[in-house]
Amino acid sequence: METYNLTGKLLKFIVYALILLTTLFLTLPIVFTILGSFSKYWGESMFGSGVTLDWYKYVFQYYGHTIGLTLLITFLTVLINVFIGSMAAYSIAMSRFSHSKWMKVVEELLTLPAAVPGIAIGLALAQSFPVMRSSGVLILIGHVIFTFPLMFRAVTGAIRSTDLRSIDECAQALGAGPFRRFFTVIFPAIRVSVFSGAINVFMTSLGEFNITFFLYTPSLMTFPVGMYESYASLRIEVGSAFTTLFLALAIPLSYILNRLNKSKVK
Amino acid sequence: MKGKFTKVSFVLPTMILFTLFFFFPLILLALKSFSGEGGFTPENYILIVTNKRYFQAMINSLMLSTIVTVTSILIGAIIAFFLARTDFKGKNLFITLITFPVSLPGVVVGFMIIILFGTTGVIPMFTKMITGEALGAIAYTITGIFFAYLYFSIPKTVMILYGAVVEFDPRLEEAARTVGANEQQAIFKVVIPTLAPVFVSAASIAFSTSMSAFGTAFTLANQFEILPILMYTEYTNYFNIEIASTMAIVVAVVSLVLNLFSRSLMEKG
Repeated sequence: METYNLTGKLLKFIVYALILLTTLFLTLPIVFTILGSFSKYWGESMFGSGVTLDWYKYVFQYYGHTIGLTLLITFLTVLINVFIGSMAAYSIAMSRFSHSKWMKVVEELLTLPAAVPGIAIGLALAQSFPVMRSSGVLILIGHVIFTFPLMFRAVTGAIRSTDLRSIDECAQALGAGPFRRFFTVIFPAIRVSVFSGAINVFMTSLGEFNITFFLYTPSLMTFPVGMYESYASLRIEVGSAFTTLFLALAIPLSYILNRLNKSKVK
Repeated sequence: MKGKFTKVSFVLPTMILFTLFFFFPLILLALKSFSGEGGFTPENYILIVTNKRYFQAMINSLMLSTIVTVTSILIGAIIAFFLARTDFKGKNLFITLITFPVSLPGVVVGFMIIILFGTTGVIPMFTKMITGEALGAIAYTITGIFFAYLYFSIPKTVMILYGAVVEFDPRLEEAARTVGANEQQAIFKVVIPTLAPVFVSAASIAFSTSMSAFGTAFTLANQFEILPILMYTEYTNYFNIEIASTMAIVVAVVSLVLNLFSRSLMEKG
């Protein structure tokens, strides 16, 4: 009994130590990235040489355009997917054949981009449409395709979980056409799911690297590609400032998403 | 008739977009992987198994993904069980904190490892302060990539497993305890077998994510060759489009099969 107790205690200690180490491993680098972005010189002591905002100035001066381009692509990606994603989800989830085998296949096909690695999509797009590359439209298309399943799943889930079919049929019986029904009846009813899908799309598009890396040109660099370049060739303080700017966008967004998911569960 | 037309017009933009910019490019990619001097041929697939460098990259990828999967399932399971069975102040915040890395792009994950294990990283600087010698600057080695992959797969595994462990019916375990099983026995003989599908599903996701991850490895590795990195070098440095396509297809098929497998497991459960 004595030895059993001892091994039990030892086991508990190991478990707690492991959890502590993992937590430190996951959170410390984020803290140090934020601290380091304000450090004049990242050396043995973080602020031994003083505090500065120079690295942020540097990032804005040389990489400001990457942030602008990414915000543009990301906003367009969200906008396009709010429309085509929720409309496709509506017509498929509402269809009389919604539970038929064929519709399942269509649904499976439309969620496929979530399961195909970004590098395969990126390479496929790059070699299929080389002429479109310089316009930047290919990056946008890549982002729309890649994030489509996020919106599509959010909306099909919402339509199926609430009894929207009878409401839809009711509106139809009263003479409303499909567009009117979609925009005035269905869309307002599923807006929370569309919103959480939109944030999910926004975050994924914002950080997308694998597809974009096969499609960008030096004049059309996105935020993550810019970050990659700063990691590969610039000081660690610049990389930290760049990353902190990304975190400043990502942390509030994932907080909102968390809240939305929790409120949906309730 | 008119009603049918409007209904089609709801899905039409998606259909066009997917056909033109998803299915067509992927079919082209697959065709490219089967093309060679003699027309349609499997020679590229034979080459990536017979060529020493290509084959080594494939083995490296498989080994790395396996080790990452096993480690993150082990750690993820411990954290998931701990979270499901312990109540403490700030538990929600803690969960949010440790699952946040899921939303980080691969390149940022790579940078997190540079922050920790780079030449002027936290660990080398800390050990230098204590022992006078900088230790643990392993960011740009295979160990660095291993830690980087853990950085995104542990949070993901915790998320998947925690959801399942919380929903697990504790009465099953209590029943095991009443017939005389101790806590460990109850966990290993009742809880884990019941949750096995979720574990396998989480493992498939971890494995396929590791197989196809690119940004993270690209930020850290030029010395270590894994399939996605080699595929990129073949494409850009050597214009070896057929081989690059073949590698992309291999990675895509592995990822696709595991993803579908994981989905079917979750739906059954």
